[in-house]
Amino acid sequence: MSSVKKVTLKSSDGEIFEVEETVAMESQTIKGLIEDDCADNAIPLPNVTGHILSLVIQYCKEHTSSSDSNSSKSNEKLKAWDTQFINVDLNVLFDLIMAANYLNVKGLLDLTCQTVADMIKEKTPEQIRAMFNIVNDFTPEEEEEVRRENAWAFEISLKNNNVVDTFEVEESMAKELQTIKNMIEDNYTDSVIPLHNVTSDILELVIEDCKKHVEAAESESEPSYSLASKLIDDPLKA
Amino acid sequence: MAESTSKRLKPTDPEEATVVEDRISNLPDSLLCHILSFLTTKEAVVTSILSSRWTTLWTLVPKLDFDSNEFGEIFSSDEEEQSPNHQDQWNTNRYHFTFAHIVSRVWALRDRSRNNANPIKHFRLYWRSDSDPIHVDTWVRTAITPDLEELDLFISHPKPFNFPSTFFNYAKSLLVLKLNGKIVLNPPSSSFGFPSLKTVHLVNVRFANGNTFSKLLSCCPVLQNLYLQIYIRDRDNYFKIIVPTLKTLHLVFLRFWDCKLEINAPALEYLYCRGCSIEDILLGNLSNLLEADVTVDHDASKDYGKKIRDFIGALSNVKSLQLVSNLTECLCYATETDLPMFHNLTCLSIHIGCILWDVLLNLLHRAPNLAVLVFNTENVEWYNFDEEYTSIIVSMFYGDVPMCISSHLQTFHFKGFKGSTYELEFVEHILKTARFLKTMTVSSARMNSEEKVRVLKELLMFPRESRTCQVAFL
Repeated sequence: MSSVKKVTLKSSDGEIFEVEETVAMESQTIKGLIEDDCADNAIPLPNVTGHILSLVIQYCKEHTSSSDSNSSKSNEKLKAWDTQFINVDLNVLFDLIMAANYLNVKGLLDLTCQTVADMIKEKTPEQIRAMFNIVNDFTPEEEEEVRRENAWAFEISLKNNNVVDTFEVEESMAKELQTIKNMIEDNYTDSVIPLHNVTSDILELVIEDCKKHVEAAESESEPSYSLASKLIDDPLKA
Repeated sequence: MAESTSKRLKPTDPEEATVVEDRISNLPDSLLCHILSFLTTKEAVVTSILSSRWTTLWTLVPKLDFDSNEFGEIFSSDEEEQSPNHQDQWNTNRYHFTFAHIVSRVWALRDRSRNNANPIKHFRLYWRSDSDPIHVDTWVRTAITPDLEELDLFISHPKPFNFPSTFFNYAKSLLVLKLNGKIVLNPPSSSFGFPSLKTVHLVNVRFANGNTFSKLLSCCPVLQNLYLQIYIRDRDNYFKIIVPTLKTLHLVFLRFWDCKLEINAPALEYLYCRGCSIEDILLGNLSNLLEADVTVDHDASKDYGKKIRDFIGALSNVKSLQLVSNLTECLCYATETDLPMFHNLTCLSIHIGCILWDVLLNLLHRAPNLAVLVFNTENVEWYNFDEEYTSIIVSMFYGDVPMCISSHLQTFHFKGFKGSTYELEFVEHILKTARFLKTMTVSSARMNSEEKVRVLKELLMFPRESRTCQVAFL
């Protein structure tokens, strides 16, 4: 076996890793150090723990060896490997983001950020907050103001299972229906709320009722609630 | 950058009152923006409500991604579409957003806090509508700046959309260009070009005249990936793809008329080609080609002799070859000596309409290092030919067994297996002669479970020359 150039990396908690130079150069940061001749001894990486560094090295190894063939098959294989690799818990994921950023490993940074983005996709703000423990520090007025500024982005789809008709309705209107309001507040919803017992045409009527109700802004609207909305409220109440 | 990981935290349970950290909000702006850049603009704007930290983050993302599909029934794309009745339903205090309003609003709010110090690097627009494309024209023109790196447009409209020619002079940093739809391209004769443009996808676009395509290619000195799907509407079309830096070429022609194609791309590594007739293709030097997935149109009344030799000869260096129906039919016209030696060929996939054993045999004899063979007979008519095929196979293996089978073949995948005699005969012989075979996979979609059991039993009974061979039946 011909002698392959190796580099020594030292994690924040003192773990030593001996890595082939080509693998280590997947990190633009390390590449720079090597090219500037600063890599004779162990390269200290104070911002990366041993556990995370070993994962990063794994990623770099897999991606260096696959960079020769650009074929569709090996790309598929690599994608499958990436999907498996990134299936880690949230804390490790964030550690990997920081490490990939610090070590400047573009592929890993994109992979980790895409994974987080996929978690955010198509979720309601409430769900996103719950997932990442984000504290809502708005006052109700402030929140309402932000909502108004970007009103077009905040809407919910009410979907009927039978006919797959999606109705996009502003959240404030949907909350007129107590059941749906509860669902929203209990973080029940994906971005599409299925309403099993309601057909499209009835749902349309209900939505129109809600609109009228909201606009009228009176409270004694019992008569204007059609039978249909009662249908929603009753069967769906747990 | 906030200090975050001094201790390892457990995945959180909302009920617990322990230290539960919001790590995502503690990431620096640049990383959060990078995450948001993987979302559409609408999804990114939703994050503005998460907490005060997030309110303006979406404005930092140098990407705008609008998809008119994302906006449902309530937001129509045409302002005039609203009938008077519908209008009444809306409270006058409530704003009614059309897609055009949304895009303009987002753009304006985005620029508000930064005075254009945060230019758009990536603009993606998916727009399907009957209404006046004046907005689209405005947006595209606004997006075309020297900072733009990626442009991705899908425009579906009854009339053709004239792509602004300023594009060819202003978008100097462009890396990726994707255009899909009735978009008319008309590069000016002296255009600055795109010194960094590496990837171009053109689907169903229109070229202003016969020179447009060549002009476009000449603007791209470092082009590596070209993806083309073209409708050939006029006669006398001649597509010359002369790109010395090109590595990947994916070509689909949908044609009513004939079209000549010349490929001169010596650095090409991957070629996918559909829709040309073999007489009309000129493949230049492809000595770096690693993978080819090619088929051609075939007219059974013609004799392709020399043409096929030239064509298949150009592909002789590939490592992986996918032969689809029609090209295999053309190969009938080639004798074994017409075919070049495929020294590097390690993976061959044949998907054919009718089995041409001669063609297969010739190819196998010319590919001494073949390690993977995929034999796909999903569309083959075998009913009348079972006996005939069986005897062909027997004689095939009685004579000179191709060297690749006996000394190199490691993987054999038979797709579209139906349980007929000739198929079993074929598999049996491969197993008997392939000394280094590691995996034999047989997949069949159309057999019922009884049949499958019968076949599996037979397969497992066949003697195997290679002791390490595994047989799989899917």
